[in-house]
This record gives sequence, structure tokens and C-alpha cells, in this order.
Amino acid sequence: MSTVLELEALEVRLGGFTLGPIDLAVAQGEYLVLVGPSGAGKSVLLETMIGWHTPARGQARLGGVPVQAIRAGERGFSYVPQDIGLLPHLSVRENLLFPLDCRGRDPDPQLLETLSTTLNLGPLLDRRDPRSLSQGERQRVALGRALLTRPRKLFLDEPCAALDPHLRREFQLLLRDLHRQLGQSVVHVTHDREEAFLLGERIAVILDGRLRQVDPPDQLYARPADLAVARFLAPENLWPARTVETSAEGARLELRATGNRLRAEHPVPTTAGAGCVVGIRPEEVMILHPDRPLRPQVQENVFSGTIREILRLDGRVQVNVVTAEGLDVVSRLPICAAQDMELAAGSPVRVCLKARSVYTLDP
Amino acid sequence: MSQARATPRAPHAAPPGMAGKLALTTLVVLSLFLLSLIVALVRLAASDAGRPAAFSLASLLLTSLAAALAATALALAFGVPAALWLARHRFPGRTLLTTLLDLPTMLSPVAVGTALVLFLRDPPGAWLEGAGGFLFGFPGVVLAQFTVIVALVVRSAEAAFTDVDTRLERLAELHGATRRQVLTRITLPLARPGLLAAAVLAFARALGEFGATVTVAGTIPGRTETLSTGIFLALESGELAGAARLSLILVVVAGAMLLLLRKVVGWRR
Repeated sequence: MSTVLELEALEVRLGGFTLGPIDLAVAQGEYLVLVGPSGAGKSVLLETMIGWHTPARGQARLGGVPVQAIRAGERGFSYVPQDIGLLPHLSVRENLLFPLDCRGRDPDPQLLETLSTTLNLGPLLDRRDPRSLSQGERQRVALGRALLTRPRKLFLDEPCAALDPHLRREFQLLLRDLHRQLGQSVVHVTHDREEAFLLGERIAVILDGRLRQVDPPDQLYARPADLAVARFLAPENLWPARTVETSAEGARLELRATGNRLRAEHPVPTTAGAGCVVGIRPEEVMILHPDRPLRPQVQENVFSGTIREILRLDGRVQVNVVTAEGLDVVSRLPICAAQDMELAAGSPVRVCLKARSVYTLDP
Repeated sequence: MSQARATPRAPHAAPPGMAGKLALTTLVVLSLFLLSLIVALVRLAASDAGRPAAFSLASLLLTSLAAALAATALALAFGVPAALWLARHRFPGRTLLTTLLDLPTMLSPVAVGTALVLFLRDPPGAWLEGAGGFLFGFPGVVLAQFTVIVALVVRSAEAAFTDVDTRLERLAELHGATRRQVLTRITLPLARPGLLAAAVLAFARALGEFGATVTVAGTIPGRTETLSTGIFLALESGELAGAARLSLILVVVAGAMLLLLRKVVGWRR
């Protein structure tokens, strides 16, 4: 039996908001993250997948059948909405067992044991009022409730957003471990890019109601599909440019504002003279000493400049450099690396925009 | 005719200075006024004013409670399903329908009673009358009270159902609950406080109902005479102490209902 969930030219209209058209398939067993800013339509998309919204056009199909044509309880779906949806009139234990109770089934003792241990549900089970639980405890109970039915597909809407930062990472890893143990497909909505990269086997970027890119995290990181995706993932280091020449080695590019020339190893197909946007992630920008000899792997795309300012982040620093040509370049590196190099505002440095990390976009 | 009406203020927005003193004074005057009404009842009830009471208290109380309970049960049976439907559907003509439903609550009960009497005289109402014997019978008391309170039940129950998060219902369906289970295990339990409030309010209103009851069923001792209509009869026949005693019973019952309402529903203020 195929349980692939497919969206086919799906369009949803809610009030003044239009989502789509979207084509997307969720494979059995995969962890798919839908990421995008607030109001992009991620939750609407998720709730259309589970059959809560009727598409204006196109279809959401489960194993070839329109989702809404299948009785809700027989879709094999579990959903943890952003507001968690525990029932205030039931005890924690009753909440946990509610889906099984409705189906007249007893919980699988082994699964219950696994979930109780992993989610640390033991001390919570005898609580009478789920409203007395903390946010993290509620999330754990809701996740346990969702998984105890052995769903084929698990849908999570911002499961970590309301958690305190120190609990968030722990919960993210918990989600990853549970997925590895139980093997159900997961569709996970988040606005947090880091969470998307941490958990997603594939990441779907939703912007303004459109699906802009679906790729594994490495691909998404290295090659954003368009300018909007690149801006969402990292708004820094995006420069209008033109192609000077193309060859087997990639493309030589010239930045329009400052005239800097650099090489991109994997440009989008282009012709000489054509306009484009050049980008590089701040994490890929190397900071080099101003006067040490260059290592062989950083011989090209190197520009001299001055540190304009250094922003201290949590465990990392952001170094804003302006090159001699006047190009603003942002680099992010671990604090220890910055300390080793004794970086300071006003001091001269060189930056290297590695050719294999430079990507190009259609303007 | 236009009259200025006192609008309730938010409790935390205490008006300062003069306005505050004025507001407090009105509150005190109002409380004293209501309290003195009860004191008047107590004094009169304790005296032997007027002729000795010529009614059976037990019979009045029994008729009143039985009729109010029956009317409330009927109103819930008809009103709650209707309210659920109203809360969950948007349809053309909704405003018209809800206006119709609200009408009995807004009208003078005597007008409602008159309409009922006229309805029961001719078919199709006459068939109903043939089957139930409403006019000047105990069923008439129930019917009159039902007519006055059913809209109250529908509208409060509708509010209770509207407050239930439909996403919880849909989530339960997704997790395998049948329609019936959603109703009995999600919707009704979550609406329960509101539904109980509706029931208590409806019962209290039925117990105090006078105009429609007296028009449809009259005041036949032991059959259709209730506490409320009994008070009127007692006053008319000069049994002041009796009227006061009956009124006090209503005060006690109403007070008990309000306390129950707070206890069960967690109503404050």
C-alpha cells in the first residue's frame, strides 16, 4: 500500500490569503520541514495536507485518493497543532490515551514504555488537569498522544517555538531520535531556520504562500534556488553582478557596484554579459591575515579591506568588513577563531570568497 | 420615551474623586433598596396581616417545581440540539431566525400567553390542545413556561457551543474519534459549564414565570396554581402575610439557584 502524500497544483484560499499552487510529495518515512517566515502559509499548507482545508484548486492525495475523501480517523495521521490541543476536561493520562480509547484499543505496552521513558511522561501521568503542566510538559504529552497510535504520518506545527531556548534543542533532538526509532513520516512546520536544518531530511521553503524550494539541507545551504530564498536564509552578502565569461571552470563575474571580480565554480547557466546576483553565506567567508602568504586553496577571490565592526553573537562573532573597493562583506566565525586572529575593529584583513561557495542567482 | 441607563463599568477602572464617591453611593443605595424589600417581606410574613392563608403551601411548591423542571427539561431537549446547529452553521436568514427565537424573551409574557391561547383555539393548535389539554391544565403551565424560556436556553447554549474550540473536535476526529464520540467526549463536556448555566437560568426564570402561565392555565389550586400565580391571588384576596411568605420562598429558591450557579459553573460577579 502506498501511503505517499502528494500535493498536486494545490491552491487554498482563506479570506484574502492565497496559498499555492504547490506541488509536493511526502515520502514514507521522511522528515520534511516546512520553513518560512510568519504568515507565509506554512500552517495552512500543513492543515490542508491533513484535510482541514478544502483546496480551491488541485488536490492533496493520500495513496492516490483525495485526503478529504478518507475518513479523518483512517488517514493514519497524527497532528500536534501549535496550541497543542490537549483536552482541558481530561486528565493527562486520559489525554495521552484518548486516540486509542476512541478506537477501543489498548496501548502497545512496549511503545508506551518507550515513549514514557523518552518523553519522561511517568511523573506527569497522574496529573488531573493538563492546564497545570508547563509548556514543555504539554508538548511532550501531546507528542506522546500523537505517537501512541503509531501514525504513518506525524504533523507538527511549531513544536519547539514556545519552549525556553535551553529546552528547545533538547526537544529538537528528541524529535529526531523518535523519528529514527519509529520511522513514521514527519511534516514539521517551523519559522526557525536552524531547526529546519537540524531536523529536515528535506526542507521546503515557503514564502508568501508559494513553495520556493524543496531540497536536502546541504543543497539548500549551498544553492538557494532564487533571490527570495537566499534572502530568507541569509540576507547578507548578496550583490548584483554581470557575467564576464563562462568556461568549464565556472564563471567569472564582476560586481556591479564595486567592480570586484571573482570566480564562481557552480554558477547557474549563464552567458557572457548577462546580469545575475552573486551570493555567499557569511559562514563561508574566510578572514585572512593581511600579510601572511596565501595557502593554495585560497588563492582566488581574495580582497583586502578593513574591519568596520565586530558584533558579538552567542558563541560566534559577526565581522563586517569593507574592502578597498568599497564592498561590504559579512563573515561569521566562532569566537575562538576571532580571538586567535586578534580581530579588532579598524584593523586590516583580507577576505576570501571561496569559489566553490559562491553561488549565483537569476536577478 | 427615552431614559438614561446606567452602564456597567469595568471593575478595575475605578472612577476617581467625585465620580467614585457617586458610584459608590449608587451601589449602597441600590443594595439598601433591595435589602429593604426583603426585610419588608420578612416583617409582613411574620405578622398576621390580612386574612389567614387559604392555600396549601406544599401543593403550590410541588406544582411550581414540577412545572419548572418539566419546562426546563423540554427546553433543554429542544433547545440544546438547535443551539448546537446554530453555533456550527452559517446560513442565509440566520438573523431572521435568531430574531424569531429571541422574540418570546423580549415580549411581555402576557402577550406570549395570549398568543398561545389563540393558537390552541384553532387548528393546528387545536389538535395539540385535543391531545394535551393545555388550556387550564397542568400541561398548559409547562407549555407557557417552556415558550418563555426556550429561547433563553437556545441562545445561552449557542454561546456555550460557540466557545468550544472546533479545532479540538477536528483533532479528535483525526485521532480516530467518531462523530458521536466527538459530541459526547469533546463538545458536550467542554460546553458543560455554559449548558448548566443555561439550565439553571431557565429553571429560575420558569419558576418565576407569571404572565404567560396565568393566561394559558389560570390559577386552579392543586392543578395550575404556582408560587408566582399564588402570590398574585393571595394579594388580590387580601392575604398579605401569605403573599409575603410565598414571595420569601421564591427569594430563597432564587438565591439558592444563584449560589448553585456560582458553585457549579464557577460564575463570578
